[in-house]
Amino acid sequence: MATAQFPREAVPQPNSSETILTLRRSLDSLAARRNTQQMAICVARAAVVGVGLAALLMLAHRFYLVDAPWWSPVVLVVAALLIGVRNGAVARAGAFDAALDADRVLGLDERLSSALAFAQPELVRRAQRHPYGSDPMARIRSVLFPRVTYRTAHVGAATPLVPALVEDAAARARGLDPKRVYPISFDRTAKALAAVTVAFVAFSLMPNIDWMRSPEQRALAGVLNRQGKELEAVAKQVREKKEIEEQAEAKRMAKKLEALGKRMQRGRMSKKEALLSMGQLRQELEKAADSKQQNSGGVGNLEQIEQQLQKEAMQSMEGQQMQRELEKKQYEKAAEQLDKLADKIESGKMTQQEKEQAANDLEKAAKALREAGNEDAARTLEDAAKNLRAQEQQNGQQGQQKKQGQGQQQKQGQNGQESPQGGQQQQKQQGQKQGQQQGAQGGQGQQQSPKSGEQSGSGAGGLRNLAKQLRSSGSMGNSQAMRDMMNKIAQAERDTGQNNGQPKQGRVKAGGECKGGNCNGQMVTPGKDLKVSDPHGQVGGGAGLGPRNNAQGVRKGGGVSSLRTRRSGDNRRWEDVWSDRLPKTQKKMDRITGKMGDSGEVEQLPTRTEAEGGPVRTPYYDVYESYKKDAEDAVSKEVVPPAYKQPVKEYFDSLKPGQ
Amino acid sequence: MNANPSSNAPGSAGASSVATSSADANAAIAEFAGRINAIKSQMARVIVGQEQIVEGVLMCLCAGGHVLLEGVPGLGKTLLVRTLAGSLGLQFSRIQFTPDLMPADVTGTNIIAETPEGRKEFQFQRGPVFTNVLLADEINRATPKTQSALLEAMQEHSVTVAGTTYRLEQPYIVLATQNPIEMEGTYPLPEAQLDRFLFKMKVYFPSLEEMIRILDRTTTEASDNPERVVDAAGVMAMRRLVREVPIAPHIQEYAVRIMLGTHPDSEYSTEQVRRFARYGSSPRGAQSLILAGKVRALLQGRFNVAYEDIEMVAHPALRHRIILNFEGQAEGIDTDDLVDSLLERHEAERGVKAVAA
Repeated sequence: MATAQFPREAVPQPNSSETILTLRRSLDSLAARRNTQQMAICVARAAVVGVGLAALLMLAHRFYLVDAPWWSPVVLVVAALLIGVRNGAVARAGAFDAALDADRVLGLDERLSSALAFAQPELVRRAQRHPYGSDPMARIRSVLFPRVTYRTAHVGAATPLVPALVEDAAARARGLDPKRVYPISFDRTAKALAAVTVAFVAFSLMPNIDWMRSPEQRALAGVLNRQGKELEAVAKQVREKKEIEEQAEAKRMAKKLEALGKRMQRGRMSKKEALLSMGQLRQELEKAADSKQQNSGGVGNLEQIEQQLQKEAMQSMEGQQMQRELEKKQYEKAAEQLDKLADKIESGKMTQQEKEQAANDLEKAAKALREAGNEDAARTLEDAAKNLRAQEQQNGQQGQQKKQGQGQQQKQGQNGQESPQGGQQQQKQQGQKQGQQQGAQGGQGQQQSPKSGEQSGSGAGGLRNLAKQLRSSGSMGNSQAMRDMMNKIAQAERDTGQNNGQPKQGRVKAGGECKGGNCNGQMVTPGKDLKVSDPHGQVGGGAGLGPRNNAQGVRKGGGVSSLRTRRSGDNRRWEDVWSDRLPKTQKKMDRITGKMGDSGEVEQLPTRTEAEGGPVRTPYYDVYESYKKDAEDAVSKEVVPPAYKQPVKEYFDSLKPGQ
Repeated sequence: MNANPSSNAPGSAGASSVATSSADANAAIAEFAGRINAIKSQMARVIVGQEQIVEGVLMCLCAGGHVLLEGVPGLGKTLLVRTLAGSLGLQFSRIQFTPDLMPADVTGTNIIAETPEGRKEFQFQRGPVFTNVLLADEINRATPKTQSALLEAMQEHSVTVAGTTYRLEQPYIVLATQNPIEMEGTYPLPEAQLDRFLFKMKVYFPSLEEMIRILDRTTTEASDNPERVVDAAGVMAMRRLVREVPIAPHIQEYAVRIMLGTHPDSEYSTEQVRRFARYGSSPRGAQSLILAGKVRALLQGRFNVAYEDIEMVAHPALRHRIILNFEGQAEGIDTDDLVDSLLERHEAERGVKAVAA
């Protein structure tokens, strides 16, 4: 029987490699399971956060608090999962950690970890979270991106009991079941993950709820939805046209329009955003149309030219034929006729009548071009028509002079018989004079001829340009398509800009009631906010036109807030309104020039609210339509002299938002 | 386990062969536990209850340390020590500390004696400290000067008188009792003296059942004396076995962290320690933790020290090494509370919260 007198000087027998290997294998399998479990836990925790945030985002989206694109929840979840994977991989457990866990879970009183520490001291390594600090950001960083440092330990002093310890530990590790140490459990994390996933799915499937939106926002959403549908319909229509298939530009624009329509239908755009988007797309369309026109010769607005050419009764055969072809929309054949006419003009082999007819046709074409806005081309054609007429007249004068010359010679012949010398001298003098005149005329003719040819050539060139334009028009269904799209956008802009697309007849009454009208827009309390004097109701979803009760009104200046323009990139005009009611501020206040109302007061625009930060501004495009309507009404009532009607129209056209 | 205590007589313990295999180690541990149990059973014949105190005293005996027993008079402290000495068959001395006790009364002194030849010379008269088991009863009733007379004996196991050093016999163990320091006529032990005790154990009042049994034994003719079950050599062999129990680095580090945590300015301390403690444990505290942990591991039949061993001995090993500050004393803080806070804080070090942290 062994005794307790354990000699200190006894050399401990080293454990066999088989014993150590057994211990190591068991602990490695434990560590592998722990790492898998830890990865799952980290990913699950991250998923709880990610899916939870996605669910909140979706909820906010449903309540119109945010406008989240469809991919944003996916991005959130994926990002969270990546962080979870990273965190799961950052502190991988080794055999020593597994041994500690087994000791703890199975109640082995550190037998395994102690044995491993003596058998393979190099494995004694423990992960420690790197301290980040105590401030909140550091804590968040430590959760999101934990850093781990590994701490090793010194080698323990071996004693004669160490081999027995290792052998005992190996025997215990041999039958170790990893599942007992790391059982799979449906813990709080899994429950939380299930809960947030259910919430996310529920929020995703629930319909949009607009309880938290103001009546104005709902109205605007309705308008945008309607306009969006129409825009989408137009875009689809354009895209379905066969002749459009080859036209990449039109197709691209149609796609953009369709996308915009869809966005508008979602009803999550603000009025400003919608108008900006529409204005931008319209500008793109106009630019594309302009470049198309320039590429095709820059003759002018083809539609107008076509209409004008069809209106005018052409006299030449080619002109009449061209009109017939235009009626049939046979642009190629119509262009051929114009080319023929140009050829004839260039060759100069035309009868007087043909020249007359050609000149008339040229003048009509010039008129059409002028109507279309191409003054230069019109002038060229007119010059060509004048030249043709000049040639015609010249030919007529030459014929008369020829006849007159013959008559004089006969007369002189009679005089010569009476006085041969005097007659010869006189004849000589007259002949010289006539010769000089004729020479001068001939010189003129020689000088005139190239000019005339040049002008004829210019006229022919103008016709050829016109022909080219017509020819390209046949393949330019997209121009029409672009016009359709532009028109639709313009209409949508108008509808959206005008009082959220509602009829503008609302009258605002105290207490927010509205008698007999469609009270859209926000309610205004008289005396406190505004006295309603706007004959058109509220302006552009705002508070409506303001009272004429301020003698100072809106003063000089008028204009564009360059500060805002620089900041937002929105280069439309912004106006300060109601600024004299605002508290004093150091900020520069832009003002617009108002117009005198019936009472002699200055009419000015109302504010939506009074902000603390300085002057309140109403977007320019919000008030444009109202102003334009005022002007048109004034013009129609002949408040404006008839001579000024056109300038007034041009003025407002120049101010149109997006120009 | 050896069933016959008499077979553990001096000489028989060292007769066995060197055992380094697992089987031998198991046998050695079994014998160790058997001897401890034998001593316990002998003590149980005399002492009623107080199992924790008995076990703590035996742990100190095996670890080679000394014990300070604190409790009000009459709780059986002296009887416990006498019984232990009887069970071990060791020499036993008792010193009743009083305020007028002098150091020489403890260590011994040179006296003039006449030789057979008729010459007179100084002879060293050994004091009661020269023994195997010393009971220093009511140690805090003596002055600090006298209390300090035990310092060398406890630490160096030697006594120096008049320039001559006398070695004490092994095994040597001091079991001191003290009344709670709040009692009148007591002198608190100096820190250096306290630090020499491996354990400070609190003797609590016996329960109802224990009290009835005590009365039965003390108020009748029945009396039982313990038998000697382990000799000095056996005790020394047990002490050697204790020191050969391996302790893994992480367990050792855990013990050191707890010891360091008793210092208020340590990074391992707790808020409570920082607030109420003035001084922490000396390195002897860590030694105590580990040695006592090793004994406990052997008592549990293990070859290694576990976290639990350190925790179980932390209170008796550290409670007398923590010096409270004024606030701690004024608040009536018990040093055991501070040790509890340290154990709680360092629980994570054990790996309890390590899974998927």
